[in-house]
Amino acid sequence: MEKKTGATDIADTMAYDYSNFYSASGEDLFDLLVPFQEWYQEARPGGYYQFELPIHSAPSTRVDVEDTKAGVIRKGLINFASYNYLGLSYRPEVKEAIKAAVDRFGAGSSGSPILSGTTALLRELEEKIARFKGKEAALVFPTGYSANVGLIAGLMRSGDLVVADQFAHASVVDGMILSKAQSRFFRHNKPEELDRKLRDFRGKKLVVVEGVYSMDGDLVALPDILKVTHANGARILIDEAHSTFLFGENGRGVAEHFGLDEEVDIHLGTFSKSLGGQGGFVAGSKALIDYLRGFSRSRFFSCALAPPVVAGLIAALGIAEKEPELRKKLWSNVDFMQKRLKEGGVDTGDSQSQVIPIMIRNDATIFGIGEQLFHEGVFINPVKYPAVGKHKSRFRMSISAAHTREDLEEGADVIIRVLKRSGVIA
Amino acid sequence: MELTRYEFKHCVGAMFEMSTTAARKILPVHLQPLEVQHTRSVLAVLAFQFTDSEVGAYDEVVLSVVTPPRMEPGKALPTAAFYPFMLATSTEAARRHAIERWHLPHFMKDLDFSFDSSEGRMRTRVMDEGTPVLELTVTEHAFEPVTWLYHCFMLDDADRLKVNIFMQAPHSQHEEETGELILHPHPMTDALADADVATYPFREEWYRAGIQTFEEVEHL
Repeated sequence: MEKKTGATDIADTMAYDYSNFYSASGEDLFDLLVPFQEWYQEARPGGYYQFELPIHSAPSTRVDVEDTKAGVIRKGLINFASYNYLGLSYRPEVKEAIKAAVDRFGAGSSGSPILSGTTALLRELEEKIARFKGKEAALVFPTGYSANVGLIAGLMRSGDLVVADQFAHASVVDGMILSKAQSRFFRHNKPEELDRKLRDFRGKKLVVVEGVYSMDGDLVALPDILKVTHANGARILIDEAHSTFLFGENGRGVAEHFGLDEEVDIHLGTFSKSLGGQGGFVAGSKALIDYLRGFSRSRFFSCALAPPVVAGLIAALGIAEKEPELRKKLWSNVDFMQKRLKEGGVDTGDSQSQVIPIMIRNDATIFGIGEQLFHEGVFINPVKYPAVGKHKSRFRMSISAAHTREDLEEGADVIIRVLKRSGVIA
Repeated sequence: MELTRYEFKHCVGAMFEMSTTAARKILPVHLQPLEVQHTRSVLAVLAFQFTDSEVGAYDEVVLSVVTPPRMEPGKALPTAAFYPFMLATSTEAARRHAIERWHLPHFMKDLDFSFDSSEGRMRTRVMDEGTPVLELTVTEHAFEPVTWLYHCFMLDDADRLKVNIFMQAPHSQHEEETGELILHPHPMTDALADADVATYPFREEWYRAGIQTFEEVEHL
C-alpha cells in the first residue's frame, strides 16, 4: 500500500497542496525540500503553473500573458486579474510625472526614510494623502504589507490584545505575531463574536477589520462592529486596501461610506490597487503618526519608496480627486457585471464591491476550468485552498473603471460558456 | 509487512481551533502542535462505527492534537498527522487491543455511542452510563473516493512511536462551519478544560463504508 512521493498518477499529486508541505517533524531542516520538489514538478503542469504567469504588457483592460505551460504568449486577454481599479497606472499624466521624477531623482531613494531617504516628493505625498483622507497626518510605507506589519507591531506590545476578523490579510496576522500581543480572531463580520473575544480582557485592545475583504468582496459590518469596539474600550483599525479611493462620497473609503470616518481611530490604505502604483499608508492623528514614525520598524528599516513611484502616486491621486466620474464608471461596471453573471447563473458569493468571486466550490476542477478560461481569452486568477477554505475555490475577478462594456460582455460570455461546459452552472 | 485492517460504516470527524498553549501541554516534548492561526492549534475529534475487525464490531471516539507530519524523502506523502491523547471504545476487547497493539491512551471504561444520521448531518453522542461526554455534529459535502495516509504518533513511557494509517473510502470534507462540538465535563475531556476549544469546526470530514489499515509500529 506504500505510495511513493513523485507519484506517477497525476490525480494523486493534485490531491495534495501547499499545506501538506508547511512543516514536518524530524531533525533536518531540509527534509521537506525533496518531497516538495517531487510534488511540485508534477503539480506545476497539473495546474499550479497558473500562478505567477509573466505578463508582457501593462496591467490594462487587455493584457498579453505568457502561457508557461504551452510556451506561447497569449495576447489581448481580457484582464480581470489586475487590481487596477481606476485604470490609473498607465494614464499619460502618471507616466509623465514618473519620467520627470526619473530625470530629477534617478531610480531610488537610496536610504531609509528616517535617515536620508525622505525626498521632498515623499513629504508632499504624505501631506496630500492626509488631506485627502481628512486626517491630521499620514505616514507612507514601501508596501501595504509593511504598513500593516509596521503599524500593528509598532503600536501593540506584549500583554496587549489584538482581535482581528478571521479573514484578515496575512500582513495583519504577521503584524500581530511580531507585536507579541495576544492574538484572537472573531468569526467573519459577527459583532457578537467580537464582543465575546473582547469583553473579559483588561488592558489595551485593538480591533482590526478590512473595508472590503479581498477574497469575497464583501464589506465590513462597520456600524455594529464599531458599537462593540467602543463598548469594550478598544481602538479600531480599518484596512482599506481594496476600498480607498473607491467608496464614500469623496472616495475616502468604506468608513466614509458608512458615515463613520471620524469614529474609526486608524485608517490604513494602499497605493498599489486603486492608484495603480506601490506602497501603503497610515492616516490618523498627528500624535499617532509621530509615534509610528519612531516605532514602525518595517518602515525605517527599509529603503523609502522610490521617487519615480512617489511622483506617479501624486499624479494618480490628483486624477482620482479631480475625476470622481471614474468611481461612478467603476460602480456602473460592477453593477453591469454582477447582473450579467447572475443572469447567466454564476454564483458570485457575497460580493458587494469591485472584487467579485466566481464561485466554483470544487478544489479538484478549478485548475482545469482556469486553463479553459485562459485559452479562451480571459486572464483571471484561480484561488483555492489554503488561500481560501476547502471547496471554497473561486476565480477572483477585479473590475476596473477602465473596462469597456465590450470587455465586460465578452468576458462574461466566456466565463458563462466555460462554466456551463464544465458543469458548474446549468 | 503485517497490516491490521478495520472495516467501518461511518467515520466522522471535525477539526476545532484550540489554544496552542494547551496543545503543547498535551503533546510530548518531541512533537509540536500545528498552528493554523497565530496561537491557535487544532483539536481533531473523530468517531468511528467499526463493523469488522480482529476484535469484532465496536464504536470509538478519538481526541487528538494535530501535529506536523514526519516528512521523509523517498517515503509516502502523508495527508496529515496527529497525536491521539484520549480514546474511548464501546467494548473492552477493542480497548485492550488498541492499548496493546498501538499504545494508544484510553479512558478505561466502555462508553455508549449513538450515531444519528439525517438530511446530510451526522450527530454522534458519547455517553458514560447516561452522563454525556461529548456531542459531535458533522455535515456532508460531495463524496469522492480517496486513499489517504496519516501519521499517528504515540508515546509508550519514553518510547517515541509512529504508525502509518491508511483510510480508504468515499470521503467528504468542507469548511462551511456548519458542524458543532459540545464537550461536557468528564475525565475524558479534562485535558481540554482550559484549552479554549471552538464550538464550531473549521473543517468537517466524513468517510463512508471504508477500510482503515494500520502498518506496523515504528520506533522514532
